[in-house]
Amino acid sequence: MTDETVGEKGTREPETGATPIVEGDGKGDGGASSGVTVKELGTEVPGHPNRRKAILGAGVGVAAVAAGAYGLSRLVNEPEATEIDAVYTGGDEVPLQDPDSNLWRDAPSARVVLGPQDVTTPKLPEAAVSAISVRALHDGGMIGFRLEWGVDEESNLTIKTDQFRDGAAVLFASEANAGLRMMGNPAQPVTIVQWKADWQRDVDKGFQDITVAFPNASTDFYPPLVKDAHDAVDVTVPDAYMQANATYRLAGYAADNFQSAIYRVSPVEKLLAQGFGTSATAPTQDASGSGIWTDRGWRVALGKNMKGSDPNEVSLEPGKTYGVAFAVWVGADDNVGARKSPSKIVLKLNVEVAQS
Amino acid sequence: MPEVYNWQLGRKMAYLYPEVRPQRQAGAVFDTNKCIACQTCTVACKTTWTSGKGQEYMFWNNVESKPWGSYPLAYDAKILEKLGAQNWDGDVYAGKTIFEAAPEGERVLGYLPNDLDYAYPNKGEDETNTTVDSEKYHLRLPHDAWFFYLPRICNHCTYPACLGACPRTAIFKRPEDGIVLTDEQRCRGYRECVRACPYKKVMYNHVTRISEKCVLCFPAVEKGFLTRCMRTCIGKIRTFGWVNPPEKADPENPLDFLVHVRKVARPLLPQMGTEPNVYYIPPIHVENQRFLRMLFGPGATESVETYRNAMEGNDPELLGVLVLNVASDRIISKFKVQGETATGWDDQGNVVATVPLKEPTMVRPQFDPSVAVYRYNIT
Repeated sequence: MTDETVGEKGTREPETGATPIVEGDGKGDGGASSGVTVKELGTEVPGHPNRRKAILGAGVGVAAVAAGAYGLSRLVNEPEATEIDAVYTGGDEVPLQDPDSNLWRDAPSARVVLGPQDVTTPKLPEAAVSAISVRALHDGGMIGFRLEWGVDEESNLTIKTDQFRDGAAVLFASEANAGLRMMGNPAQPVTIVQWKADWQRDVDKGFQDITVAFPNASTDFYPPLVKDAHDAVDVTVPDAYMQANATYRLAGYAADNFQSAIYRVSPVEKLLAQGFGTSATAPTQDASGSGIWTDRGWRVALGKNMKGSDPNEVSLEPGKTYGVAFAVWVGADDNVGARKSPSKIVLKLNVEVAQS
Repeated sequence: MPEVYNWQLGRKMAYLYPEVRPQRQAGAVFDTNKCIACQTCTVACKTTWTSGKGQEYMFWNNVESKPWGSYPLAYDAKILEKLGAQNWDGDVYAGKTIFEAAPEGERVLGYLPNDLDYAYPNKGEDETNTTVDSEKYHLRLPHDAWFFYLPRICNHCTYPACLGACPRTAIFKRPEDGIVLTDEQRCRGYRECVRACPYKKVMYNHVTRISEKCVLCFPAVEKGFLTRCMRTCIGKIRTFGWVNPPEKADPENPLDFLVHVRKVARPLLPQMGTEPNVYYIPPIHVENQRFLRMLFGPGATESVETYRNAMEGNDPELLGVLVLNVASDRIISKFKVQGETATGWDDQGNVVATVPLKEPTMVRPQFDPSVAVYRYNIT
């Protein structure tokens, strides 16, 4: 787990007169209100270091409450990044399954400014999150990013018609070309890894079936499955359907749509795209990651193999520079698909030479 | 946005894609005067397509009572209110369509229902438009107090809002028959289609977490058979077949005859601009013609008169095409009325149904001496 200290947080708090950023307020860079938020970050976790360590030591997940605050505050007053340095870990594995790992501190924190999605319809006229904190590592085999952003409410279910999820994505491009900012183009395909909060919940707790959203759901039967009339809603997907040779009743699942997968091993999807509307699940799913709700926002690690395994996938080599862009979705604001807050620019991704 | 021609509006309109009409368009006519809301169609569809886990709330076919019924709740009132004034200049629509009224940054004017909206499929069932305070309402036509049943499926529109709204072309309209389908491999569950469809006939699956819609029973249609909801219609209110644009109308084609020749069947909420391909014969007993014109366009009143005329025995050809409804489980693409019978042919020229214009009736004496019993009309 993390060994980050409040000392670091303290050094990164805004100086008097600085213009801090409020994460997740949907209002962009701000003046007075931003200052209030920063203050809240400081005051809501009194006795921060010792308390946090104690909680973490006890293995209680709510430690994220405290952890969330410092991560966000670190963003404040940092200049807008135009480059991301993916730091070589020295041989350690990129801690994609542990967003709190102290290894992430080896990489500098970059403040990536997000903006509205105002290029293609449907648009998101105002960014739901104004900036994110980004750190990048690679171990010669995997490249990973730790993203942190603030959001008031956790959205990690997509069962109901009007439920949308929180999410974040990293776009890899062969060069830092502004024209590739969103989804690439036919001549310059891009590769995207997207972390999804609802998938994270599926991974953490098992498939979130309908009773999670509808606790009182009741169904007599699901033909052709035979079950007691009182509790047919308990039939498991897809097992019961597989046993009855009836997965056709779960059309998306039967069609092998990755969105409809039931048993998830990763909350991160790897996609390939060559322009708006072209993104498609990559044939090889070797992206991974993990996200933690911090009570003030998300801390997410996600990454992929540096060497591409699919046609058109962007491969990354140490010592070279590529393009990278980011996007965040806020489920509580009905963000989905093109309704997202993308980074305002394509940043340079400098992949550090691997040397011990 | 490209300009396309929408004959139901009598004018060109903006749409997300250029005008490309299918080789032929599957469509239907529903006679609201004959629907008894038995929901057999609803159940046939439900058991065929939407009885899987995650589809509990779905009714790709539903029958709602107008004026108050709706599924999802107030879908029509909500989009009509968002659309604003919908005036017609004669047969030309002078208002905006949901494409033309799309807010900045949106593809289509729409809204996303929530789960409670879907929770009352029987809301308003059998409720009259006004309080019945006199027992004499039923003694004359049209009725002051009225309701009628409106069966609904996906309209497989010529200009589908769902298709236009999908940012990743995961919805497509088949060139061979105009059936609109979701690509269950390509959909990512954004629900832009659910938001955009003014008829709310694209639905979100709680388990697969992507969207689904009425498929117009394409496996059956491909083999020349009626859809499940049509062939099980015990009221025989449904004509299923192929509908052409007006300039290509074939008077021997049942749908073209009803829609273009007699103009007795009208689209549902044509002002949305999607050019829906399911048509309705408006109810003849409804006193409020303005309501009918809101629902079925400015020609609704004329259709009511045409229908009445046929029911009074003055239009055997129109009567003939209607008695062929669900007379066979095969799609009738040509019909003819000869003498007292109507005949229907399929695409291959096979006679699939011959039906008398008037059902033969026999009146039996009340007392049957052969078995020494009195018979009553309930036996």
